[in-house]
Amino acid sequence: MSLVHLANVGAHLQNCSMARLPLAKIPYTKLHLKVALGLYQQGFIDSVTRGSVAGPDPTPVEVTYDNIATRRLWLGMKYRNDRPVLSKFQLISKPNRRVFVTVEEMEQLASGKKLRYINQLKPGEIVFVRTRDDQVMTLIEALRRNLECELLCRVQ
Amino acid sequence: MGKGAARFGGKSGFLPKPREIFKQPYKHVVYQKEKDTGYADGIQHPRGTTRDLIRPPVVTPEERLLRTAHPPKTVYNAESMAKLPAEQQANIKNAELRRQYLAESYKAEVSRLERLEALERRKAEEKAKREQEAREYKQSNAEVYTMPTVEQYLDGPFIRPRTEEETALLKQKRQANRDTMILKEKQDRAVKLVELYNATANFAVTEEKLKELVDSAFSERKLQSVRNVLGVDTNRLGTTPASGMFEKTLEETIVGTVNRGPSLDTVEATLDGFNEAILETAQQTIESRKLELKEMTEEKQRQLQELQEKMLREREES
Repeated sequence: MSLVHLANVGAHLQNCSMARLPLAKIPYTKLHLKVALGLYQQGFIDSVTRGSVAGPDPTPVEVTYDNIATRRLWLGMKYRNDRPVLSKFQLISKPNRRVFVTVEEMEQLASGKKLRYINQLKPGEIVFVRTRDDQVMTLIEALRRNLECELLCRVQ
Repeated sequence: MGKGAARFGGKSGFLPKPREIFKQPYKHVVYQKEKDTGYADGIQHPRGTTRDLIRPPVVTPEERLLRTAHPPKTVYNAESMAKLPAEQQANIKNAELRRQYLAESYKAEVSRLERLEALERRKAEEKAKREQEAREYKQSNAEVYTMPTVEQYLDGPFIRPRTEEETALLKQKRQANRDTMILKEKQDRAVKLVELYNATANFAVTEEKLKELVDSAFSERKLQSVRNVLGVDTNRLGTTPASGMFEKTLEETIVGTVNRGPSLDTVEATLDGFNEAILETAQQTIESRKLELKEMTEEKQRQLQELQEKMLREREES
Protein backbone atom coordinates (compact mmCIF):
# COMPACT_ATOMS: atom_id res chain seq x y z
CA MET A 1 0.00 0.00 0.00
CA SER A 2 2.89 2.31 0.62
CA LEU A 3 3.41 3.00 -3.09
CA VAL A 4 -0.29 3.66 -3.55
CA HIS A 5 -0.12 6.20 -0.79
CA LEU A 6 2.99 7.74 -2.31
CA ALA A 7 1.16 8.05 -5.63
CA ASN A 8 -1.70 9.79 -3.82
CA VAL A 9 0.78 12.15 -2.20
CA GLY A 10 2.30 12.92 -5.58
CA ALA A 11 -1.09 13.68 -7.11
CA HIS A 12 -1.99 15.81 -4.08
CA LEU A 13 1.22 17.83 -4.31
CA GLN A 14 0.62 18.42 -8.03
CA ASN A 15 -2.91 19.60 -7.28
CA CYS A 16 -1.68 21.90 -4.49
CA SER A 17 0.89 23.36 -6.87
CA MET A 18 -1.73 24.02 -9.52
CA ALA A 19 -4.01 25.65 -6.94
CA ARG A 20 -1.04 27.70 -5.64
CA LEU A 21 -1.63 26.61 -2.05
CA PRO A 22 0.96 27.67 0.51
CA LEU A 23 0.85 24.42 2.50
CA ALA A 24 0.13 20.82 1.62
CA LYS A 25 -0.95 18.16 4.07
CA ILE A 26 0.18 14.55 3.63
CA PRO A 27 -0.12 11.43 5.80
CA TYR A 28 2.54 10.95 8.44
CA THR A 29 4.50 7.83 7.54
CA LYS A 30 8.18 6.98 7.40
CA LEU A 31 8.29 6.77 3.62
CA HIS A 32 6.47 10.08 3.21
CA LEU A 33 8.77 11.75 5.71
CA LYS A 34 11.85 10.44 3.89
CA VAL A 35 10.55 11.59 0.52
CA ALA A 36 9.53 14.96 1.97
CA LEU A 37 13.04 15.43 3.39
CA GLY A 38 14.46 14.51 -0.01
CA LEU A 39 12.22 17.11 -1.66
CA TYR A 40 13.36 19.64 0.93
CA GLN A 41 17.03 18.88 0.34
CA GLN A 42 16.60 19.18 -3.41
CA GLY A 43 14.82 22.51 -3.02
CA PHE A 44 11.39 21.48 -4.25
CA ILE A 45 9.64 22.51 -1.05
CA ASP A 46 10.11 25.22 1.51
CA SER A 47 9.54 23.42 4.80
CA VAL A 48 8.60 20.13 6.42
CA THR A 49 6.58 20.40 9.62
CA ARG A 50 4.78 17.88 11.73
CA GLY A 51 1.21 18.64 12.62
CA SER A 52 -2.30 17.35 12.95
CA VAL A 53 -5.24 17.44 10.60
CA ALA A 54 -6.01 20.92 11.93
CA GLY A 55 -2.64 22.39 10.97
CA PRO A 56 1.07 22.46 11.77
CA ASP A 57 1.94 22.05 15.45
CA PRO A 58 2.91 25.33 17.17
CA THR A 59 4.72 23.26 19.79
CA PRO A 60 6.12 19.75 19.30
CA VAL A 61 3.59 17.01 19.97
CA GLU A 62 4.56 13.47 20.81
CA VAL A 63 3.27 10.85 18.39
CA THR A 64 1.48 8.06 20.18
CA TYR A 65 -0.82 5.25 19.16
CA ASP A 66 -3.72 7.35 20.39
CA ASN A 67 -3.07 10.37 18.16
CA ILE A 68 -1.39 8.75 15.14
CA ALA A 69 -4.64 8.84 13.19
CA THR A 70 -4.68 12.63 13.26
CA ARG A 71 -0.97 13.16 12.62
CA ARG A 72 0.01 14.79 9.32
CA LEU A 73 3.06 16.24 7.63
CA TRP A 74 2.72 19.82 6.43
CA LEU A 75 4.88 20.78 3.47
CA GLY A 76 5.53 24.38 2.52
CA MET A 77 5.06 24.71 -1.24
CA LYS A 78 7.48 26.80 -3.27
CA TYR A 79 6.62 29.19 -6.09
CA ARG A 80 8.77 31.39 -8.25
CA ASN A 81 7.46 34.07 -10.58
CA ASP A 82 3.99 32.71 -9.94
CA ARG A 83 5.05 29.28 -11.19
CA PRO A 84 5.34 26.23 -8.95
CA VAL A 85 8.79 24.82 -8.31
CA LEU A 86 7.32 21.32 -8.03
CA SER A 87 5.14 20.72 -11.05
CA LYS A 88 5.26 16.98 -11.57
CA PHE A 89 5.52 14.02 -9.21
CA GLN A 90 5.11 10.61 -10.80
CA LEU A 91 5.74 7.08 -9.60
CA ILE A 92 8.20 4.88 -11.48
CA SER A 93 7.74 1.69 -9.45
CA LYS A 94 4.11 0.73 -9.37
CA PRO A 95 2.66 -1.69 -6.82
CA ASN A 96 2.37 -4.38 -9.48
CA ARG A 97 5.50 -3.40 -11.42
CA ARG A 98 8.45 -2.68 -9.16
CA VAL A 99 11.57 -1.37 -10.87
CA PHE A 100 14.79 -2.60 -9.32
CA VAL A 101 17.99 -1.46 -11.00
CA THR A 102 21.66 -2.34 -10.87
CA VAL A 103 24.44 0.20 -10.62
CA GLU A 104 25.11 -0.08 -14.36
CA GLU A 105 21.47 0.61 -15.15
CA MET A 106 21.48 3.56 -12.77
CA GLU A 107 24.50 4.95 -14.62
CA GLN A 108 22.63 4.55 -17.87
CA LEU A 109 19.61 6.44 -16.57
CA ALA A 110 21.66 9.13 -14.88
CA SER A 111 23.64 9.74 -18.05
CA GLY A 112 20.46 10.77 -19.83
CA LYS A 113 19.60 7.54 -21.57
CA LYS A 114 16.36 5.63 -21.66
CA LEU A 115 16.13 2.62 -19.38
CA ARG A 116 13.69 -0.16 -20.23
CA TYR A 117 10.36 1.68 -20.45
CA ILE A 118 11.52 4.62 -18.33
CA ASN A 119 11.91 7.73 -20.42
CA GLN A 120 15.11 9.69 -20.20
CA LEU A 121 15.42 12.26 -17.47
CA LYS A 122 14.81 15.87 -18.33
CA PRO A 123 17.07 18.66 -17.06
CA GLY A 124 16.23 19.44 -13.46
CA GLU A 125 14.37 16.20 -12.98
CA ILE A 126 15.17 14.18 -9.86
CA VAL A 127 14.61 10.48 -9.29
CA PHE A 128 14.11 9.27 -5.76
CA VAL A 129 15.19 5.73 -5.03
CA ARG A 130 14.82 3.31 -2.16
CA THR A 131 17.87 1.26 -1.26
CA ARG A 132 17.94 -2.25 0.12
CA ASP A 133 18.33 -0.92 3.66
CA ASP A 134 15.20 1.20 3.21
CA GLN A 135 16.89 4.55 2.80
CA VAL A 136 15.41 7.09 0.42
CA MET A 137 17.82 9.21 -1.60
CA THR A 138 18.31 10.59 -5.07
CA LEU A 139 19.56 8.50 -7.95
CA ILE A 140 22.85 10.41 -8.05
CA GLU A 141 23.49 9.86 -4.35
CA ALA A 142 22.77 6.15 -4.68
CA LEU A 143 25.20 6.03 -7.59
CA ARG A 144 27.85 7.74 -5.49
CA ARG A 145 27.36 5.14 -2.80
CA ASN A 146 27.27 2.34 -5.36
CA LEU A 147 23.97 0.93 -4.06
CA GLU A 148 21.45 -1.11 -5.98
CA CYS A 149 17.97 0.19 -5.45
CA GLU A 150 14.34 0.49 -6.41
CA LEU A 151 13.28 3.53 -8.45
CA LEU A 152 10.47 5.18 -6.51
CA CYS A 153 9.39 8.35 -8.25
CA ARG A 154 10.50 11.16 -10.49
CA VAL A 155 9.97 14.78 -9.59
CA GLN A 156 10.15 17.75 -11.88
CA MET B 1 4.21 -5.80 -33.08
CA GLY B 2 3.90 -7.21 -36.55
CA LYS B 3 4.11 -10.69 -37.96
CA GLY B 4 6.85 -12.91 -39.27
CA ALA B 5 10.18 -11.18 -39.77
CA ALA B 6 8.71 -7.83 -38.68
CA ARG B 7 8.61 -9.20 -35.17
CA PHE B 8 12.39 -9.29 -35.21
CA GLY B 9 12.96 -5.82 -36.64
CA GLY B 10 12.89 -6.92 -40.27
CA LYS B 11 15.46 -9.69 -39.78
CA SER B 12 14.50 -13.00 -41.28
CA GLY B 13 16.12 -14.97 -38.53
CA PHE B 14 18.91 -15.09 -36.08
CA LEU B 15 22.45 -15.62 -37.21
CA PRO B 16 24.35 -18.40 -35.50
CA LYS B 17 26.75 -17.47 -32.78
CA PRO B 18 30.19 -16.85 -34.29
CA ARG B 19 32.44 -19.86 -33.82
CA GLU B 20 35.39 -19.36 -31.56
CA ILE B 21 38.71 -19.62 -33.34
CA PHE B 22 40.54 -20.84 -30.22
CA LYS B 23 38.50 -23.54 -28.64
CA GLN B 24 41.12 -24.09 -25.97
CA PRO B 25 42.83 -21.33 -24.03
CA TYR B 26 45.68 -19.85 -26.03
CA LYS B 27 47.77 -18.98 -22.97
CA HIS B 28 48.18 -20.10 -19.40
CA VAL B 29 45.11 -19.39 -17.29
CA VAL B 30 45.02 -19.32 -13.51
CA TYR B 31 41.75 -20.87 -12.41
CA GLN B 32 40.31 -19.85 -9.07
CA LYS B 33 38.30 -22.54 -7.36
CA GLU B 34 34.91 -21.12 -6.45
CA LYS B 35 34.11 -20.99 -2.79
CA ASP B 36 31.97 -23.81 -1.38
CA THR B 37 32.21 -26.00 -4.48
CA GLY B 38 33.64 -29.47 -5.06
CA TYR B 39 34.07 -32.27 -2.56
CA ALA B 40 35.05 -31.67 1.04
CA ASP B 41 37.91 -33.55 2.64
CA GLY B 42 36.89 -37.07 3.60
CA ILE B 43 33.95 -37.08 1.20
CA GLN B 44 34.36 -39.58 -1.61
CA HIS B 45 33.53 -38.66 -5.16
CA PRO B 46 31.56 -40.91 -7.52
CA ARG B 47 33.42 -43.49 -9.49
CA GLY B 48 34.20 -42.48 -13.02
CA THR B 49 34.37 -38.81 -12.16
CA THR B 50 37.24 -36.60 -11.17
CA ARG B 51 37.74 -35.00 -7.83
CA ASP B 52 39.00 -31.79 -9.37
CA LEU B 53 37.83 -30.34 -12.65
CA ILE B 54 40.01 -31.19 -15.64
CA ARG B 55 40.80 -27.91 -17.29
CA PRO B 56 41.28 -27.73 -21.05
CA PRO B 57 44.94 -27.86 -22.13
CA VAL B 58 46.64 -24.72 -23.35
CA VAL B 59 47.23 -24.62 -27.10
CA THR B 60 49.29 -21.66 -28.21
CA PRO B 61 48.63 -20.10 -31.63
CA GLU B 62 52.01 -21.41 -32.83
CA GLU B 63 51.19 -24.99 -31.81
CA ARG B 64 47.79 -24.66 -33.40
CA LEU B 65 49.34 -23.37 -36.59
CA LEU B 66 51.74 -26.28 -36.65
CA ARG B 67 48.90 -28.73 -36.13
CA THR B 68 46.50 -27.17 -38.62
CA ALA B 69 48.86 -26.01 -41.29
CA HIS B 70 52.14 -27.76 -40.98
CA PRO B 71 54.97 -26.26 -43.07
CA PRO B 72 55.77 -28.31 -46.19
CA LYS B 73 58.31 -31.08 -45.88
CA THR B 74 60.01 -30.06 -49.09
CA VAL B 75 61.01 -26.51 -49.65
CA TYR B 76 61.39 -25.51 -53.23
CA ASN B 77 63.65 -22.78 -54.32
CA ALA B 78 62.91 -20.66 -57.39
CA GLU B 79 64.92 -22.89 -59.69
CA SER B 80 63.35 -26.18 -58.62
CA MET B 81 59.97 -24.54 -58.52
CA ALA B 82 60.25 -23.48 -62.11
CA LYS B 83 60.78 -27.09 -63.10
CA LEU B 84 57.48 -28.19 -61.56
CA PRO B 85 54.26 -28.32 -63.56
CA ALA B 86 52.14 -25.15 -63.50
CA GLU B 87 49.30 -26.80 -61.57
CA GLN B 88 51.62 -27.95 -58.76
CA GLN B 89 53.21 -24.52 -58.64
CA ALA B 90 49.75 -22.97 -58.15
CA ASN B 91 48.91 -25.50 -55.43
CA ILE B 92 52.13 -24.76 -53.54
CA LYS B 93 51.53 -21.05 -53.85
CA ASN B 94 47.92 -21.39 -52.62
CA ALA B 95 48.99 -23.51 -49.66
CA GLU B 96 51.61 -20.94 -48.71
CA LEU B 97 49.05 -18.12 -48.93
CA ARG B 98 46.57 -20.08 -46.81
CA ARG B 99 49.21 -20.70 -44.16
CA GLN B 100 50.07 -17.04 -44.19
CA TYR B 101 46.42 -15.92 -43.86
CA LEU B 102 45.76 -18.42 -41.10
CA ALA B 103 48.77 -17.19 -39.18
CA GLU B 104 47.57 -13.61 -39.61
CA SER B 105 44.07 -14.49 -38.45
CA TYR B 106 45.47 -16.19 -35.36
CA LYS B 107 47.53 -13.13 -34.62
CA ALA B 108 44.47 -10.91 -35.08
CA GLU B 109 42.42 -13.14 -32.81
CA VAL B 110 45.10 -13.04 -30.12
CA SER B 111 45.21 -9.25 -30.29
CA ARG B 112 41.38 -9.13 -30.11
CA LEU B 113 41.32 -11.37 -27.07
CA GLU B 114 44.02 -9.31 -25.42
CA ARG B 115 42.04 -6.16 -26.12
CA LEU B 116 38.96 -7.72 -24.57
CA GLU B 117 40.96 -8.84 -21.61
CA ALA B 118 42.36 -5.36 -21.12
CA LEU B 119 38.86 -3.93 -21.32
CA GLU B 120 37.60 -6.37 -18.69
CA ARG B 121 40.55 -5.56 -16.47
CA ARG B 122 39.88 -1.84 -16.80
CA LYS B 123 36.21 -2.34 -15.99
CA ALA B 124 37.06 -4.38 -12.93
CA GLU B 125 39.50 -1.71 -11.79
CA GLU B 126 36.88 1.00 -12.27
CA LYS B 127 34.35 -1.03 -10.36
CA ALA B 128 36.78 -1.61 -7.52
CA LYS B 129 37.61 2.10 -7.48
CA ARG B 130 33.93 3.02 -7.40
CA GLU B 131 33.29 0.61 -4.56
CA GLN B 132 36.24 2.03 -2.69
CA GLU B 133 34.90 5.56 -3.17
CA ALA B 134 31.45 4.42 -2.02
CA ARG B 135 33.00 2.94 1.10
CA GLU B 136 34.79 6.18 1.80
CA TYR B 137 31.74 8.33 0.98
CA LYS B 138 30.78 10.78 3.66
CA GLN B 139 28.12 13.45 3.73
CA SER B 140 29.52 16.89 3.19
CA ASN B 141 29.36 19.47 5.96
CA ALA B 142 26.81 21.44 3.97
CA GLU B 143 24.54 18.39 3.83
CA VAL B 144 24.99 17.61 7.51
CA TYR B 145 24.50 21.14 8.81
CA THR B 146 21.49 21.98 6.66
CA MET B 147 19.64 18.84 7.70
CA PRO B 148 16.40 19.70 9.45
CA THR B 149 15.71 18.39 12.91
CA VAL B 150 12.72 16.53 11.51
CA GLU B 151 15.14 13.90 10.28
CA GLN B 152 15.83 12.93 13.86
CA TYR B 153 12.33 11.49 13.95
CA LEU B 154 13.56 8.75 11.64
CA ASP B 155 16.26 7.68 14.08
CA GLY B 156 14.13 6.46 16.94
CA PRO B 157 10.79 4.68 16.92
CA PHE B 158 8.29 6.48 14.73
CA ILE B 159 5.51 6.19 17.30
CA ARG B 160 6.23 6.27 21.03
CA PRO B 161 5.29 2.87 22.45
CA ARG B 162 2.70 2.82 25.22
CA THR B 163 3.93 2.76 28.78
CA GLU B 164 2.84 0.01 31.14
CA GLU B 165 0.32 2.31 32.86
CA GLU B 166 -1.17 3.35 29.53
CA THR B 167 -1.43 -0.25 28.43
CA ALA B 168 -3.17 -1.19 31.68
CA LEU B 169 -5.55 1.76 31.34
CA LEU B 170 -6.38 0.84 27.77
CA LYS B 171 -7.01 -2.74 28.83
CA GLN B 172 -9.39 -1.56 31.54
CA LYS B 173 -11.19 0.71 29.11
CA ARG B 174 -11.66 -2.10 26.62
CA GLN B 175 -12.88 -4.43 29.36
CA ALA B 176 -15.37 -1.78 30.52
CA ASN B 177 -16.66 -1.35 26.98
CA ARG B 178 -17.03 -5.08 26.59
CA ASP B 179 -18.86 -5.37 29.93
CA THR B 180 -21.21 -2.55 29.00
CA MET B 181 -22.09 -4.24 25.75
CA ILE B 182 -22.70 -7.56 27.44
CA LEU B 183 -24.87 -5.87 30.08
CA LYS B 184 -26.94 -4.09 27.44
CA GLU B 185 -27.45 -7.33 25.57
CA LYS B 186 -28.52 -9.10 28.77
CA GLN B 187 -30.92 -6.27 29.61
CA ASP B 188 -32.50 -6.45 26.15
CA ARG B 189 -32.95 -10.17 26.55
CA ALA B 190 -34.46 -9.72 30.00
CA VAL B 191 -36.94 -7.12 28.70
CA LYS B 192 -38.01 -9.50 25.96
CA LEU B 193 -38.32 -12.34 28.48
CA VAL B 194 -40.57 -10.25 30.73
CA GLU B 195 -42.71 -9.28 27.76
CA LEU B 196 -43.03 -12.90 26.80
CA TYR B 197 -43.78 -13.92 30.39
CA ASN B 198 -46.56 -11.34 30.65
CA ALA B 199 -47.92 -12.28 27.25
CA THR B 200 -48.22 -15.94 28.33
CA ALA B 201 -51.13 -14.93 30.55
CA ASN B 202 -53.32 -14.89 27.45
CA PHE B 203 -51.89 -18.02 25.84
CA ALA B 204 -54.22 -20.89 25.22
CA VAL B 205 -52.79 -23.72 27.25
CA THR B 206 -56.00 -25.58 27.94
CA GLU B 207 -58.88 -26.65 25.72
CA GLU B 208 -61.33 -24.41 27.53
CA LYS B 209 -59.11 -21.36 27.08
CA LEU B 210 -58.70 -22.17 23.38
CA LYS B 211 -62.46 -22.40 22.93
CA GLU B 212 -62.93 -19.17 24.77
CA LEU B 213 -60.37 -17.41 22.59
CA VAL B 214 -61.88 -18.81 19.39
CA ASP B 215 -65.35 -17.69 20.49
CA SER B 216 -64.12 -14.22 21.30
CA ALA B 217 -62.26 -14.00 17.98
CA PHE B 218 -65.43 -14.87 16.05
CA SER B 219 -67.84 -13.03 18.28
CA GLU B 220 -70.39 -10.65 16.74
CA ARG B 221 -68.65 -7.61 18.24
CA LYS B 222 -65.26 -8.58 16.81
CA LEU B 223 -66.70 -9.34 13.39
CA GLN B 224 -68.47 -6.00 13.39
CA SER B 225 -65.23 -4.14 14.06
CA VAL B 226 -63.54 -6.07 11.25
CA ARG B 227 -66.44 -5.22 8.92
CA ASN B 228 -66.13 -1.59 9.88
CA VAL B 229 -62.45 -1.53 8.97
CA LEU B 230 -63.03 -3.37 5.67
CA GLY B 231 -65.92 -1.14 4.74
CA VAL B 232 -63.94 2.06 5.01
CA ASP B 233 -63.15 3.82 1.74
CA THR B 234 -59.41 3.70 0.99
CA ASN B 235 -59.38 7.49 0.53
CA ARG B 236 -60.70 8.00 4.04
CA LEU B 237 -58.53 5.38 5.66
CA GLY B 238 -56.34 8.05 7.28
CA THR B 239 -59.33 9.65 9.00
CA THR B 240 -60.52 6.47 10.69
CA PRO B 241 -60.14 6.46 14.46
CA ALA B 242 -56.86 4.94 15.66
CA SER B 243 -56.94 1.47 17.07
CA GLY B 244 -56.54 0.85 20.75
CA MET B 245 -52.94 -0.17 20.18
CA PHE B 246 -51.54 3.34 20.58
CA GLU B 247 -53.54 4.07 23.70
CA LYS B 248 -52.47 0.73 25.14
CA THR B 249 -48.77 1.39 24.50
CA LEU B 250 -49.05 4.88 25.93
CA GLU B 251 -50.75 3.63 29.02
CA GLU B 252 -48.18 0.90 29.51
CA THR B 253 -45.33 3.39 29.11
CA ILE B 254 -46.82 5.71 31.72
CA VAL B 255 -47.84 3.08 34.19
CA GLY B 256 -44.68 1.00 33.63
CA THR B 257 -46.28 -2.25 32.57
CA VAL B 258 -45.70 -4.58 29.65
CA ASN B 259 -48.46 -6.73 28.19
CA ARG B 260 -50.57 -5.82 31.23
CA GLY B 261 -47.92 -7.21 33.54
CA PRO B 262 -45.07 -5.57 35.44
CA SER B 263 -42.21 -4.32 33.27
CA LEU B 264 -38.57 -5.25 33.78
CA ASP B 265 -37.90 -1.94 35.56
CA THR B 266 -40.70 -2.64 38.01
CA VAL B 267 -39.44 -6.16 38.60
CA GLU B 268 -35.89 -4.94 39.14
CA ALA B 269 -37.02 -2.17 41.48
CA THR B 270 -39.02 -4.68 43.51
CA LEU B 271 -36.16 -7.16 43.65
CA ASP B 272 -33.68 -4.45 44.66
CA GLY B 273 -36.00 -3.30 47.43
CA PHE B 274 -36.22 0.09 45.79
CA ASN B 275 -40.00 -0.02 45.71
CA GLU B 276 -40.13 -0.88 49.41
CA ALA B 277 -37.78 1.95 50.19
CA ILE B 278 -39.95 4.35 48.19
CA LEU B 279 -43.06 3.09 49.97
CA GLU B 280 -41.42 3.50 53.31
CA THR B 281 -40.29 7.00 52.45
CA ALA B 282 -43.77 7.85 51.23
CA GLN B 283 -45.32 6.54 54.43
CA GLN B 284 -42.86 8.48 56.52
CA THR B 285 -43.64 11.59 54.52
CA ILE B 286 -47.35 11.04 54.98
CA GLU B 287 -46.91 10.49 58.74
CA SER B 288 -44.79 13.58 59.14
CA ARG B 289 -47.25 15.58 57.04
CA LYS B 290 -50.10 14.35 59.24
CA LEU B 291 -48.21 15.41 62.34
CA GLU B 292 -47.51 18.81 60.83
CA LEU B 293 -51.16 19.26 59.91
CA LYS B 294 -52.22 18.23 63.41
CA GLU B 295 -49.86 20.72 64.99
CA MET B 296 -51.01 23.43 62.62
CA THR B 297 -54.66 22.71 63.47
CA GLU B 298 -53.97 22.78 67.18
CA GLU B 299 -52.08 26.06 66.80
CA LYS B 300 -54.92 27.59 64.85
CA GLN B 301 -57.46 26.40 67.42
CA ARG B 302 -55.35 27.85 70.18
CA GLN B 303 -55.06 31.19 68.38
CA LEU B 304 -58.81 31.18 67.72
CA GLN B 305 -59.51 30.52 71.35
CA GLU B 306 -57.21 33.30 72.43
CA LEU B 307 -58.95 35.64 70.04
CA GLN B 308 -62.35 34.68 71.38
CA GLU B 309 -61.22 35.19 74.97
CA LYS B 310 -59.75 38.54 74.05
CA MET B 311 -62.99 39.62 72.37
CA LEU B 312 -65.00 38.48 75.40
CA ARG B 313 -62.73 40.45 77.74
CA GLU B 314 -63.04 43.56 75.64
CA ARG B 315 -66.85 43.25 75.59
CA GLU B 316 -66.98 42.82 79.37
CA GLU B 317 -64.79 45.85 79.88
CA SER B 318 -66.94 47.96 77.60
